[in-house]
Amino acid sequence: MYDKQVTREAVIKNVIDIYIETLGFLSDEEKASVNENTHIIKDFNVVDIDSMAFDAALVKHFSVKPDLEEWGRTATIGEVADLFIKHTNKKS
Amino acid sequence: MKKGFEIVKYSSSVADIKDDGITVDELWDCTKEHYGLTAAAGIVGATSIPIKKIKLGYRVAPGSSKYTNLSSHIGVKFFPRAILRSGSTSAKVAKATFGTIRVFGIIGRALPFAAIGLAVYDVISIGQCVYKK
Repeated sequence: MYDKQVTREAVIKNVIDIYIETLGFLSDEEKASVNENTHIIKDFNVVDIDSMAFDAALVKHFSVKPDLEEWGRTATIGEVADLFIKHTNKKS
Repeated sequence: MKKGFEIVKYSSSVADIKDDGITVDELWDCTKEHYGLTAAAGIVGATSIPIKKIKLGYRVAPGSSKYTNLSSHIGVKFFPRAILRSGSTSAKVAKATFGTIRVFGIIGRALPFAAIGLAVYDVISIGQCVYKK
């Protein structure tokens, strides 16, 4: 249980880092405010190309591509992290 | 008061339009000449046509559009690092104007306006060519 929690936190941190790096326009204050409840699109008015670039960076980092329909139901950083954990576990 | 019909004005069955000496061939030549010059611009304009994200292998995130354009796809696929320097003045202006600092995002958002400009330019250019002949 403890290991799983650590893994989830690590993945969330990875997803947050990728999100911040991909957008490239967040201020230090905004960067610090990103957490697992951050809505990927709405919280920072993210436009199409940035969300697409974020998704592509996630696929490259985790080396898995979730089902598009299932992935389309994830809105927050935490939900995306959980989806990638699920698919990474399936792969291994 | 007169009874019956009266011809008040004679009009010929053949349209009485002044001939400016422009033929369809000349118009066609001008159009070909014009589009030869602007073919590249036309190809660039095509990159702003909306395409379903799913067809290009992207998910539709909640709160985002189902559509994207070729410019965004090319940017993400081949130039993922093409972004303006974070914190620079141009990046701030781009974020405020286009919502992104990604170069291909800026191109994709600016092109529909460029396409309208090109369409107006097309009409004027062809028209000028025809009347020069």
